[in-house]
Amino acid sequence: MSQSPRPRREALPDALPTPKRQLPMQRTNDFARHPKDGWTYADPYPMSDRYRARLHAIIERLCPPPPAPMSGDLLTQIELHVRGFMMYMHPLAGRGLWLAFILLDWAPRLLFMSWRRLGDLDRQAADRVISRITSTRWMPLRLLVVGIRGSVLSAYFDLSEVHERLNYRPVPFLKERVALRERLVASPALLGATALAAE
Amino acid sequence: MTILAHEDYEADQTFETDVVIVGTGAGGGAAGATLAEAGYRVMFIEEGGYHPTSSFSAYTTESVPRLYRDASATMIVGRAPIPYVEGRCVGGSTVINGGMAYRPPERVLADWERITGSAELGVEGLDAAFSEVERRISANFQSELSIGEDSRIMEAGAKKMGWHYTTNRRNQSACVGANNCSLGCPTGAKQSTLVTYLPRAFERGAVCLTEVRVEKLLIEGGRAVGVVGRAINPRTRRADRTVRVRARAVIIACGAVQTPLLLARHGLGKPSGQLGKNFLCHPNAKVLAVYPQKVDGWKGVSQNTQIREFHEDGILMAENFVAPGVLAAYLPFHGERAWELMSRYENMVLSGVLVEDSSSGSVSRTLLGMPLVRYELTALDHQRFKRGVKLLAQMHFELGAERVILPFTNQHEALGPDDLERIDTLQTDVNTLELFTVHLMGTARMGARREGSVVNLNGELWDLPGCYVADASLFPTAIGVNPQVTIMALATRVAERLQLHAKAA
Ligand SMILES: Cc1cc2nc3c(=O)[nH]c(=O)nc-3n(C[C@H](O)[C@H](O)[C@H](O)COP(=O)(O)OP(=O)(O)OC[C@H]3O[C@@H](n4cnc5c(N)ncnc54)[C@H](O)[C@@H]3O)c2cc1C
Ligand code: SF4
Repeated sequence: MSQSPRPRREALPDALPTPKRQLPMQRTNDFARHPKDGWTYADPYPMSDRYRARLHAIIERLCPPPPAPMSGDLLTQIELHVRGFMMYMHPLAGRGLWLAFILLDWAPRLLFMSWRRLGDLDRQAADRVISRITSTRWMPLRLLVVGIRGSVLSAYFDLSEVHERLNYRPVPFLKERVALRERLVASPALLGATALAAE
Repeated sequence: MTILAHEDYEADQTFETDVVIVGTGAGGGAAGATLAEAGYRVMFIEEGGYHPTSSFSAYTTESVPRLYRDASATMIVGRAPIPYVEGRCVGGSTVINGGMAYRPPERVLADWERITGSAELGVEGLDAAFSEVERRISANFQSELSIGEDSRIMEAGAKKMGWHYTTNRRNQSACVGANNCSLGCPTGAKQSTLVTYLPRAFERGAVCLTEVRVEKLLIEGGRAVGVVGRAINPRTRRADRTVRVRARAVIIACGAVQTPLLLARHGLGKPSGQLGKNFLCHPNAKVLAVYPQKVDGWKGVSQNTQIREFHEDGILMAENFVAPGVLAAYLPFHGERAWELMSRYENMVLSGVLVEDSSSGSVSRTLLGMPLVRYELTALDHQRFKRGVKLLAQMHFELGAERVILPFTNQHEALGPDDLERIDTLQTDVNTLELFTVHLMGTARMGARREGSVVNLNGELWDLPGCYVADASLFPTAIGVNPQVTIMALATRVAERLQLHAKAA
């Protein structure tokens, strides 16, 4: 049998550093988009201005057109969110996504569908290219574009302007629920009165 | 409570403790609290950050990078490919899970008893451990006020079809149906390890080193004596500081993908060749129904019911509504069509078919240090998915749904029951199936014989004394239900066996 540790009850060594970050433990939730809990959001994935301009064009082709919410400012927000996601991926996956955007932009030429790049096509022509790739039987290509579409649309449908149009208003709802739970915890009788669901 | 982060570490720093636990999820949290309560000095190491209840919000773009591994860009390769997600934060996947709290069916535990030859892993052997976990995480039924309309629709559907269904037990205390479970419970109701096991461990002096990714084990004289990790700079995401922890026992609880990845680096698991094998994942397929009436699935807990009519055939059905940013990541459409569909967000019920694995895959380490997760769906499971999707979509139409979005790349939409008839003719290739999974299990299986398992019945590696596994990797077979309770029970057991060892020594 291997040798395992015996219990020890002494305090931890003094050498333990004092945490620098102020972690809020009991703060009431304000549901801010970037809550101040001491956590640092990574810098956006590095990109040249030229690359960013191409990225904007692709994002625009993937996102819903007006009358759905869309503007230059929203495009920049989506771009920053996508670049944020890329920083948290495995570095190779982040780089892969970076390359995949280039590939998608060149896809009309690679598929002999047009001489223009995706970001320069009109919406209908771009739709045809994207639909063709997302239904291709060639799995790696399909997955690349599905991955791009997922990250762009995820960022788009997380915009406050879009939430408003979907009648999705989480902040007042969550605030109300936090307050409700506080009341329930303070008064267990109230919880008991909310008939338990039976199996 | 001592929780350290990147800025607290020196360029190269060494800590010492009794037991170092890598990972703070279902397994790590339960094992750590058990040992800290028994008087051991426990040090957790967690790759993700510490995010308290008060920081949780409904914003996908903020929450996913904080709480999910690789911002959820993780994929199982094979026919068909399966995106998967897991937690990367203090509390691990329990912070983002749906909170369903099930014991495995008795037939599974009977199997475990037979396979391992140990009654301790059977129905009676594990009963006390399950009860203890259920008490600690407050596994119980939802109150009426917390239940969402989509749950009620699923229940009505099951009744209408004459199907057997159950009400889920969830690990919650006074859940008020905020339905933000997948982005962190902002009310503190969901009893993840973040608010249950870990605070108990911290009260007993446990320390947590966050933002450190463990990359190697420290091995001396053929025994594990600690781990070496790299602290990740939160701004650049580069690993730029070295953190070592020396300990008298090492517990690996990184989940079923990361645990074999770490152990494989040292060529462990040789006696059986089983390390990374036996990967199980309960794949599931989404069935999104659009109703004429307002459902507001985002209000009220959506995981209250589970349809178990086909459980013996390896099929479960349930609902799980999510924020628009999460839902949109899996939409089969873009542009105008995506908008047209999403503008019906308040009319949607998001349901799914979960299939119990009839095969297994593998996790291996690529040259570049990334995990390669492989899994091939069997013809039987393909058949189960087609059947499950068809039945579930039929149920939605019976209840008056206008349209149903199907998980097939060549058949994304059904506008009525007639369209479902084409499933059998169109779905001949498994690659057209769009799957997803959140239950990763079984890559360092527990067993009584070194030839067939990676760890012994104490959870200790056969070929590395002092190194234990306490997470979803331990499962000898798939369990066919949501796994967190089983993981916590096994991890508690590993921690108890480690203490018994200590006393004997
Ligand atoms: C979205 C979602 C919904 C789910 N719903 C349910 C449900 O309703 N009911 C249920 O029972 N189960 C559910 N599950 C599954 C359940 O949560 C997991 O099976 C369980 O948490 C796994 O436990 P674990 O200890 O194996 O790993 P995890 O809980 O994932 O914890 C592993 C931890 O280890 C850390 N880690 C990994 N590698 C390293 C490293 N090298 N160095 C340092 N740290 C590392 C990770 O960051 C993570 O925090 C769900 C999971 C997800 C993702
Ligand atoms: S439904 Fe809401 S309150 Fe209940 S556990 Fe989920 S997030 Fe928490």
